[in-house]
Amino acid sequence: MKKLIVILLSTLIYFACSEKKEGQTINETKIKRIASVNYPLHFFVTKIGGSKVDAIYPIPTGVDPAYWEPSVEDIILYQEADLILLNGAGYAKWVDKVSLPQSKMINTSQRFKDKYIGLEEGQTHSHGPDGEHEHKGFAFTTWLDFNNAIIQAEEVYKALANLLPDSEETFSSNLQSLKNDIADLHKKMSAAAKKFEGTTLVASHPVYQYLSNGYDLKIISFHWETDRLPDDMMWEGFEKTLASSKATIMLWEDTPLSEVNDKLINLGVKAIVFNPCANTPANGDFLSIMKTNIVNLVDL
Amino acid sequence: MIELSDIKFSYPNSEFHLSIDSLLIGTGEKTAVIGPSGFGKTTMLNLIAGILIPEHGSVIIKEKEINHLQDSERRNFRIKEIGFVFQDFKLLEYLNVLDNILLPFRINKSLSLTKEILENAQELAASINIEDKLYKHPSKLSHGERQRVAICRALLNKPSLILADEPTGNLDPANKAHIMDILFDYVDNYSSTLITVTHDYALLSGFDEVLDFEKLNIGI
Amino acid sequence: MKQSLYIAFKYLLFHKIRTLILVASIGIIIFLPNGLQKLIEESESQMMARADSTPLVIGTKGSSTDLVINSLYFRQEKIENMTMKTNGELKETGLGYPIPLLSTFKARGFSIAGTNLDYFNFRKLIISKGRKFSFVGECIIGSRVAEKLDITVSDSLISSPENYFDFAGVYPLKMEVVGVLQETNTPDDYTIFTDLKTNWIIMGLGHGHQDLSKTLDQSVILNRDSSNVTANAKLFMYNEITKQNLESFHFHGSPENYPITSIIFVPKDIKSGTILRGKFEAREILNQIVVPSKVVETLLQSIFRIKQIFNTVFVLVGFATLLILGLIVTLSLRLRKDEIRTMFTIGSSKAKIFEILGLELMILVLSSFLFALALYFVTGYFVNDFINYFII
Repeated sequence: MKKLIVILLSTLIYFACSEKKEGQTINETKIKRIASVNYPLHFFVTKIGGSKVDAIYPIPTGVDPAYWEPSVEDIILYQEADLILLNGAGYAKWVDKVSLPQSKMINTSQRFKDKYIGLEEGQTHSHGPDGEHEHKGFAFTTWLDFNNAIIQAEEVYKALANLLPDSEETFSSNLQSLKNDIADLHKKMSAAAKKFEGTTLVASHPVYQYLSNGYDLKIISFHWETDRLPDDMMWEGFEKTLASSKATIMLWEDTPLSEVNDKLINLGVKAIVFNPCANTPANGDFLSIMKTNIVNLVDL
Repeated sequence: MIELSDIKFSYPNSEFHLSIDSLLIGTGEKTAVIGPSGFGKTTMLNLIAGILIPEHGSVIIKEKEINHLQDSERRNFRIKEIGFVFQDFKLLEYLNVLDNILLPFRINKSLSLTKEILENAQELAASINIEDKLYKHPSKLSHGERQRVAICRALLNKPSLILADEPTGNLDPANKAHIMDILFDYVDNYSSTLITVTHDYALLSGFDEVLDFEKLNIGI
Repeated sequence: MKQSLYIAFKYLLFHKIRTLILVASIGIIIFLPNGLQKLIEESESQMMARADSTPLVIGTKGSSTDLVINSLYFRQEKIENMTMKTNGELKETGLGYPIPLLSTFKARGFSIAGTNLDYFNFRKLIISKGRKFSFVGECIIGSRVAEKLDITVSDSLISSPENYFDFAGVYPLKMEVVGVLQETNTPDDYTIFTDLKTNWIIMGLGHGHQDLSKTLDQSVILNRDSSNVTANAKLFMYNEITKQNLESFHFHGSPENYPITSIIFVPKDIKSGTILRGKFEAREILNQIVVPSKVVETLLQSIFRIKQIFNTVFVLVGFATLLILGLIVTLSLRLRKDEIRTMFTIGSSKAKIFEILGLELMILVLSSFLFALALYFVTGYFVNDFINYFII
């Protein structure tokens, strides 16, 4: 009889402890997962959210996030996130081809969507004489105008604060710090841009529309790749443009091939790296890369 | 053993009257009852069985005045002491042969259906060569086989009186003789009494007594 | 009693067909009003549960019943489409989140519902096999779709061709089944779910084809200039979306103008829902907003009236059946006069004979009740079919 009582009591105590453990598990909240479609947004999430959130960014380095093709597993990662931060302006082409929960999607450039810059280049197609044209689309490197970057950071903050109201104060403080940094970039960029008043710049790729718009820079873009030699026709077109524009500075997303650089020098053009930083940099972060970009412009 | 005295019986709304001054049938006797149709032969059987009650007179079987018993006493007496064999067999089509034989034990509380009774039924069926038909239904049997089943049903409880109303009426000659042999053997072996209504004069030689209702002027 | 029961059973078993017919007819008469009652009650309960779980539905002005039936049951009533612009407007209110729906097409007899992944979280739908759709061209099927069509993950479904605009036609699209939903006993079990974009592709608002700027086949080109290439009707549109041609799929026109049939709106709280309804009343948003539970309640009231009519009919039919059964029993007794007389002659009492006959009747009636009970329990499986065929 005594043995039975001991066994019963032990069993009761065991289950009581088990219940306590379960209660502890229930009380812990699962950390919110925030997925971004490009590096700048991911950077904003880490800066504003800090350790309060789990920032998800599965796009491998070296890939242009705008044209990234996700796998099923990648899509599931986004589907299971608590927030999906979009750049807007049709940035991530893959978003149009996949299924994501709309309620978790935030367009961080929604506030300035009426100021999206339409693309003029490129050829569309339509079907039949009265068919609607395919959309030429918009330029999408919105963050290169640092005023836009501030707005996008604010949208990131709003989204995080809505999701985790208890951490709003922390987010607000982090946002302010980030805004200060970006505002500093804006100030420096504005000063740097003054140097190019009245001049024309050329660019290797049409990714600087918001930079041009935000800082009054006249930029003529080509469709060159950093890892490819332009052909003769491309050089011919380039030289014609140089002749008419008198451009002496060419913006590149990354260091051009040495042969290209040499030829540019021969043509009296200086290649300046202005990395849009759409994806994770090999070294540094968004702020340091942008600072370097501005320094590159200033230190001509 | 059976005594009918001063019996008077008539059916309601009918001109038929049955009148029997005196009739005595001894134990172990085989009595044939003959006469034209409508003379009351079956009525007499029903009076003896206690199914009908005479307006006047007495029916005494084994010193019991049947007509003065209560319904239930009469019924119980009938099921224990009297076995019936009918011209048209009167088997229940939905019961198999064994269930038909055991029917009396299922329809009256005064008889108990025991394992012993079951064994007796099987033995009785074997004794008249229908043991291989026990689980068949009557529709699968010949007339002769059906009548043998009816006889088993009538004899299972070892009645002291067998009332057979034209038991060979629907049978061929070979079966007729066989059926009468079974009944006569039973009567001889168990000192039972047999009263048989028949139109088959060829069978009369086997009986001890013949009651000719026409000659005796019994029943109008 | 035991012996009487034995004889009674023997009689009924011997006349199997007659017994079965009697049991079936009495059973059905007992079952019908109760079964109908159960069907209606369960239908009411299911429909109200479905309606109660859907806070608000928005659609173009018109029949609120058709709107609710289309949105909750994916019955493709003729309702006018609205555009994604309304979806955007609702999202911007910040009062909750909208779930757009487009239910216009079918595949092998089942409705295709175009929506987004919010729908699955909202309805708490669980995938029993496979996964949720990731790419356009994929679909998830309800449990009963899988069962009835005998298909599963990796199989495919082709949307039924229809003349949508009466001149262009819509393109049957081969969709890959990537997931099967767990059974829910709701209309979701009978539905094929796709992303909205997949539906728009079926409509022809989006499609995939060879790159016109690079094609060497001039016979598909109607006109070409520096800014645009116009293709003619000869251009082949892909009728299946694969990994190889996914990149080629695109949409024409502005997404804001793309059609949807309705929107389920999930407000943050009751106050937000009320504010939103106020906006509609104030004509700030020009469509209709309905509370599904109120619409379904009105619909069910008509069902209730029909039920009353049915019950009256059943009572009359039941009475007639009982009369016929009484006649059958009487005639049967007459036919069994000889049998009864035999038992009486052998030594049975009238009471015993009545007991046997009474037990036969009791076994019949009891068996009928059991049959009716079995039918009653089975009725539950047909609730969804009942709702689909008789209510909506």
